[in-house]
Amino acid sequence: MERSTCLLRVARTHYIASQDDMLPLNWKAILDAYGSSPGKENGTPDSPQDVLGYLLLERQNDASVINNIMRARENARAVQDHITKEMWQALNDYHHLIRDPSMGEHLTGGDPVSAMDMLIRQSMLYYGMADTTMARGEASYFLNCGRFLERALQCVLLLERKASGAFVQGDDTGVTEWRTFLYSMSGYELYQKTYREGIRSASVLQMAVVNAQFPHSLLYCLQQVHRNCERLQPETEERSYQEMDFLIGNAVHLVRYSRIHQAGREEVASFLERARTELGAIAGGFDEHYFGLH
Amino acid sequence: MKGNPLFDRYAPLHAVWDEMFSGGGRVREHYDRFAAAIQDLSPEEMFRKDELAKKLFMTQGITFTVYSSGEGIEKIFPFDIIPRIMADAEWKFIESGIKQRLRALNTFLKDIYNQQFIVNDGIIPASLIYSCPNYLREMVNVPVPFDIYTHIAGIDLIRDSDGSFYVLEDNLRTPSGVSYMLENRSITYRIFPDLLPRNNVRPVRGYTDVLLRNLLWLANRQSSKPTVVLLTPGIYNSAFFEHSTLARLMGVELVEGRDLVVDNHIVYMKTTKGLKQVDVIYRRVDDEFLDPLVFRPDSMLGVPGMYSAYRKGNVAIVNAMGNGIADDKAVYPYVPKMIRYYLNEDPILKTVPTYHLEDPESRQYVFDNIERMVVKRTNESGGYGMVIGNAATEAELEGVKDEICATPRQFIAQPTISLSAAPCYVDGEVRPRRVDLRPFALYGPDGVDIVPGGLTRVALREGSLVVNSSQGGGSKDTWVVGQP
Repeated sequence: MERSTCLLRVARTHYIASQDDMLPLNWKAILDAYGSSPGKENGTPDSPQDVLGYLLLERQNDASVINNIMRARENARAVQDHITKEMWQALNDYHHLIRDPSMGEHLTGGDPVSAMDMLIRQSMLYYGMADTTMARGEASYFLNCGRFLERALQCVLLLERKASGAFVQGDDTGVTEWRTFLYSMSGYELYQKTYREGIRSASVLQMAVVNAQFPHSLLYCLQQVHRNCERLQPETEERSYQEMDFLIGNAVHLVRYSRIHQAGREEVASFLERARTELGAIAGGFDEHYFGLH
Repeated sequence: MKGNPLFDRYAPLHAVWDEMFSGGGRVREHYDRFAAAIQDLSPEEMFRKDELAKKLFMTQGITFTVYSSGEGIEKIFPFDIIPRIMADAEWKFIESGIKQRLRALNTFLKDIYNQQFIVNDGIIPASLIYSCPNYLREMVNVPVPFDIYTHIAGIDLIRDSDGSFYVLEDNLRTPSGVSYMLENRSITYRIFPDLLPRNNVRPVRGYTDVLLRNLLWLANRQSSKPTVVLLTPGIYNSAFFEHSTLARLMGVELVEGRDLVVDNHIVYMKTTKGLKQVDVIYRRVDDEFLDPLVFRPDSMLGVPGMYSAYRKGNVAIVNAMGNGIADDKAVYPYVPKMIRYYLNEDPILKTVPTYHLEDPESRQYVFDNIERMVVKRTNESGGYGMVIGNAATEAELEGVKDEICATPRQFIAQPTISLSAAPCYVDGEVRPRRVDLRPFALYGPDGVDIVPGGLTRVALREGSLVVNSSQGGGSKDTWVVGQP
């Protein structure tokens, strides 16, 4: 669900940027980041509408939103005894919405932004239902761990692409690239309030990595993972908890004490790679210590 | 555009410059790509786009407030979905003209509030200056950061039947409309997907970045994070939507007068953590309401002591106080002389011939030809206080003549200019409606920046020449098409 929401925000922001900014978007790079190309053999990017259709609705694209929602729904169906009815219904509604033929019509022939807004709104509804109806127990804590871990991973992946200037062609100053990043993360307004100096890559990186007030920052996400994992402690074996605490603490330490705003391009790339590795280790840790057979 | 049922019935107005069509019904070159894109648009599809635009305006709350309307306080800003398109070369001409004009007006303000060379040299009569109610003696000899008075300007342009642009008026106090310009663009790419990049339309979204940069530069304190606020009269002001939009986009606090306090000639903002010094105030409150200790004592919108803080240089105010003398309609005819006097250049943009009604000969001429004239009050704006000779009743004309005779300084007259027309989607049909253009210029220490295009205002009522939103006008998105 989190991956879908991130993808929708990125797609929406970049689509709007393709309409409103003079710099052409590198749709191929976006496809590479979020799914494989729809199959143009010469590598030429498709029209924005084709790309959106592929990212959002194409069944052949394993990473598409529609496939993600279907998987989420199937998972939820299997654990209906652990989630509330309201939450299940919100997810089910989402499933029906994205499969509705009108969604495709909006994307290809109408206003794609309206289509994406509808889907984002539905995901917000899902999150709201989860937040307000789920009892604060194991199910809720695991949901949040997964959600914030995925959000952290998406943040890192997007930063890696942005830092290399992959998505916008001819953006010598990087301003358009970083602006679209901020909008994708719903962070533009906070950035404006926090940094009064115009868009600079160092400041954006700092906000995206270590600003604990920004709900999409790496540090915030890791802190949430840690918090929810701590709440799982009474429900789990002590050894497992110690292992997870170590892994998460390692990642938090890496992020909190990085001087990302002072780092050069190579250092940033190296940091992001390490962060991705740490996040992968946390995900692996959950697999091994909570979900795997001992 | 033969074959398109919407445009087949479109008939340009006689003797009026049409923005889209030249003589013989040919589409102007800079409209070519847009025309080709909508060539096959059916009436039903056009209707759907119009409905979507209305829905988006409503859901996003893009409104303006009307002071006296039986329908309620907030109204959705009328928007016409067919954009007004300008060629790049034409825009460059306008841009250079506005920059020149703004430099001259700013220099005039500096001069008129200091040495008054232009008066001493007999270019402008002193009586004109001192009889203007917007000339603030309180601003005489007050140092202004970077000598910039007109940080934000909206210059209204119209196009006559021969295609020439004329400056209709300058707005140098609290010009509004920029938020609608930004929102219009965001609606256009929703209703016409992909048309903007295909037409190489120059973006407008950089306005708030430039504005914020200019505001930050004005701060006097040695601070890496100067505090900028946007001072609004409040939610009942007609332009409140714009105030809140700009504050949000720039990341600055939106404050009312009661949120600020002056202590020891320093302006502070009241916060939950105590008082916080304010460095720059982007004020959308008129001069006379800014400081009840100096101006209107009954003002509840301003801050007592703000003027003294400003005078001491402890706070910057944008736009500076006293700009009204430069956008007074009676001073307007002197702008070409200002350009020649201060800049030693010929004016690039034309001004509408204007008659000062204090002069008996001019007054008589205007009275004799009043059906072909527009009479305006020098201190009004928003289209109020204007009498259009060929649209007014006998009683209205006699009434205005009496008022002119009583207080001639308060009026000017201009020949009626035949505003250009552009195709508008009205009640399911495409009809010509009169338009003007308001580009927005930002004057900072680095020079003048002008957002490509600006706001095209439309007189939506058939036959009307009044484009102001408060009197039934609407707006269009304005495209400046770059080189393909």
